[in-house]
Amino acid sequence: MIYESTRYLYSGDQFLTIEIADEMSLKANFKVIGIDRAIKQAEITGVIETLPGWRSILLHYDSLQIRTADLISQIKKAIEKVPEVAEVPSRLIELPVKYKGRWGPDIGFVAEQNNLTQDEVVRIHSETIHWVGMVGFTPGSPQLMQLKPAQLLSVPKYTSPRTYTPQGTIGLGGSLTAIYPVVSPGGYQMIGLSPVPVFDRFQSLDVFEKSPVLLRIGDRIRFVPVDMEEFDYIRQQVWECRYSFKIQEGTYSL
Amino acid sequence: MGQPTFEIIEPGIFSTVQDLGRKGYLASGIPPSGAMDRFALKMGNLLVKNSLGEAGIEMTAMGLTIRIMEDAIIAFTGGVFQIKKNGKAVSQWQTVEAKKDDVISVGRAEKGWRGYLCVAGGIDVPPVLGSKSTYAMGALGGFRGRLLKKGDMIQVGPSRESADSLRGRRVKKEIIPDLEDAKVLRVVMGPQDDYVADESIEAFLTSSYKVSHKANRVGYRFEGRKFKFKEVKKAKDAGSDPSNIVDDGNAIGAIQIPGGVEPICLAVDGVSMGGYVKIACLIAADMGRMAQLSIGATMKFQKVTVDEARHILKQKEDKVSGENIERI
Repeated sequence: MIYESTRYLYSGDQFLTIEIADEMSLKANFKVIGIDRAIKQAEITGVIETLPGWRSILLHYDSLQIRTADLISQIKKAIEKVPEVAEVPSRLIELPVKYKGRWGPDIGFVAEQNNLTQDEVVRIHSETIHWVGMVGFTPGSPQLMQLKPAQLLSVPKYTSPRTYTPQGTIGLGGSLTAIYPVVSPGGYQMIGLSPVPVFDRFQSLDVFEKSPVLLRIGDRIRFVPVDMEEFDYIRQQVWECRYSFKIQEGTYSL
Repeated sequence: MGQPTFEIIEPGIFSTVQDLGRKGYLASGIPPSGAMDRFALKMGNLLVKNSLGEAGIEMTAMGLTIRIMEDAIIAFTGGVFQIKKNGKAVSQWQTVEAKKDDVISVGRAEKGWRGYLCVAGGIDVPPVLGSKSTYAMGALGGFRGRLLKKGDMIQVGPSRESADSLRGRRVKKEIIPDLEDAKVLRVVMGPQDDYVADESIEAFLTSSYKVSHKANRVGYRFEGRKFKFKEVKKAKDAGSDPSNIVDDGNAIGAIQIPGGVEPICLAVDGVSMGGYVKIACLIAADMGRMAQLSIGATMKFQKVTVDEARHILKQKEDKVSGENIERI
């Protein structure tokens, strides 16, 4: 449900949670993007940064520069005139993936849970465009929603999270896809591995020049299945700092 | 590159280069990092007349041993550690003259948990994303993105002041934090305290907790009373456990209660988002208190308002002033 009126929740004395919904939906996400933009444009004194998410914005501020009550009233003023957001800037980014086998050892379970073959899972997952609804947990890790899938893929997460997930793993948990940019614990079912980074701490590839993190809220991703030969070729290009991402600037509408 | 100023002989348990952290990368999933006890780092920098946000070394539970390769003025702040220079005791919260070939060792934390080593000129590592702070999980910043280890050669930047003007400076006694205070962590309730049963809110604010061994720069776990949740209608996307919510951003200091089992207070390297109810958030001024809680310590949570939290922070910030430094 998207709330009638926005909720302002204290997250300590340096952060404020601006909550617009309790649900995970594209509509709520669009509203978040609109409000986030309006807050940034308002350039309110004391605001340090924002973290826009599925249904809320976490705003970091300096309480010694602005009192919390004043901050809230200024945000209210900044966002009251935000019209319904129906279209947002959205890049379409292609990410190569080696699905199945030891690169995606849980894909058999995903197939079983969805009454599909493994190849059908690959086809549906790679033909569906995925929406970046939130970035975080580990550096640059996106949570992705399936946009108009031919069949919604859904699978339970691990009941007990594994302690090791290889870097570049593509995982499915519930109906969300995640990418694991660094070696980390994880609970999503592993369906494939991407040879390209979405987090590059050395900012080696051109696309990371401004930020070590590739993805941001509102981006869309198309996963492109690759075979072993292509996987190796792409990885070689990444090592040689020559890989260039296929990125299409654009917009997306509800 | 200039000559190294000191060599790490023993690294201690968890020693990292930290300044006041990086801003602007929360939306990318990169936490601020930085000193857990910001007041201690700032006072250390003040002693050696660095800018307050200069990088020092944060030590945890057990300090490091260094060999000085080039004369330097240093200062130790934070928890109470036994520190020796060539075998002779050295005081904290005051400048120390370190001469070539001196060996300085920092022992176990006798009281508190984290100590800071500041050096005139600051630790010279390249800033990454605007900060020299180490984010160990992301292998980012600090000294090669990692914990310090034996054999590391540490370089120091140029000092802003002459050694003469730095000798014999110390922090006034009444300004040094009383580590007993760490036993009370002050919190602002929310953002999801309305999911928690009244009796559990009451218990959270009145009962004692013990710091679990799972306590680090990512988060502190506390053992104590378990939590009950209210019967609230939740969106289907939230997850099946009563402690689940649809993911949202985590404040630094947010106190999650996964499964209602243990409160986990996220610290400066904390994960930026999650799907668990956050009953309350630690106030900014008390991150330094939590930094000084040792594993196994007992403590309590105390509720304050945001305005009280702001006042507490202001008071603490005001102490970081040259007026509180005296000559021995």
